[in-house]
Amino acid sequence: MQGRVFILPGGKIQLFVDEGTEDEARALTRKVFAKLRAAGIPVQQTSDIELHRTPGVEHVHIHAEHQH
Amino acid sequence: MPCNLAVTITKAAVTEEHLRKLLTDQLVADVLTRALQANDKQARVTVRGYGGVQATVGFFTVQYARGQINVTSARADRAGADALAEELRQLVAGLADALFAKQVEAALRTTGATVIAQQHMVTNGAAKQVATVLNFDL
Repeated sequence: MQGRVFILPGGKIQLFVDEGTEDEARALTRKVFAKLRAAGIPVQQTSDIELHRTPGVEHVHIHAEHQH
Repeated sequence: MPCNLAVTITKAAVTEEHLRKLLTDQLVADVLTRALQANDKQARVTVRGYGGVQATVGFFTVQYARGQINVTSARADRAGADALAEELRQLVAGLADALFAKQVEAALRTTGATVIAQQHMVTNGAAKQVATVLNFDL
């Protein structure tokens, strides 16, 4: 399943899961965070796992593309 | 990739302490050397044996220790010292951000995921920020 991790300044992360059912996306989200913690990255959720279509869910948007 | 393809969105963070731990004295010294010598080839940067980094550039002395930057001026140029300190703080913060992004990318790769890293300018609320975006397939 595909997803994107946006790593923002100051150690902030936004994890987007782009495929699957809601349950699958939630499970993948938990899996990714568990993997990061297992790798020694003490990431803490600062929001619930939000459905993208939920009104009022604030998140980053790509402004312009710049590939390396 | 359009925003509307996302199924779920979750926010998370690590502490400043975690970011600070990524900053080894040598890495900080390297980035300070590049930045300071870009404007003054006479700038000198050393890693102190007891920890931290010290640099001299012109009449300024830069001290770095445990994530903190302090700049003093031999000519009582407080404004100049403050400006240099702010510039170097942003540089060190950028280094920490880059190291963190690499750490997350490496962690994702250990899961067997295909990971493609890109830099994007993003809008985050009212702010525009540069973000590292890790596109993964897990």
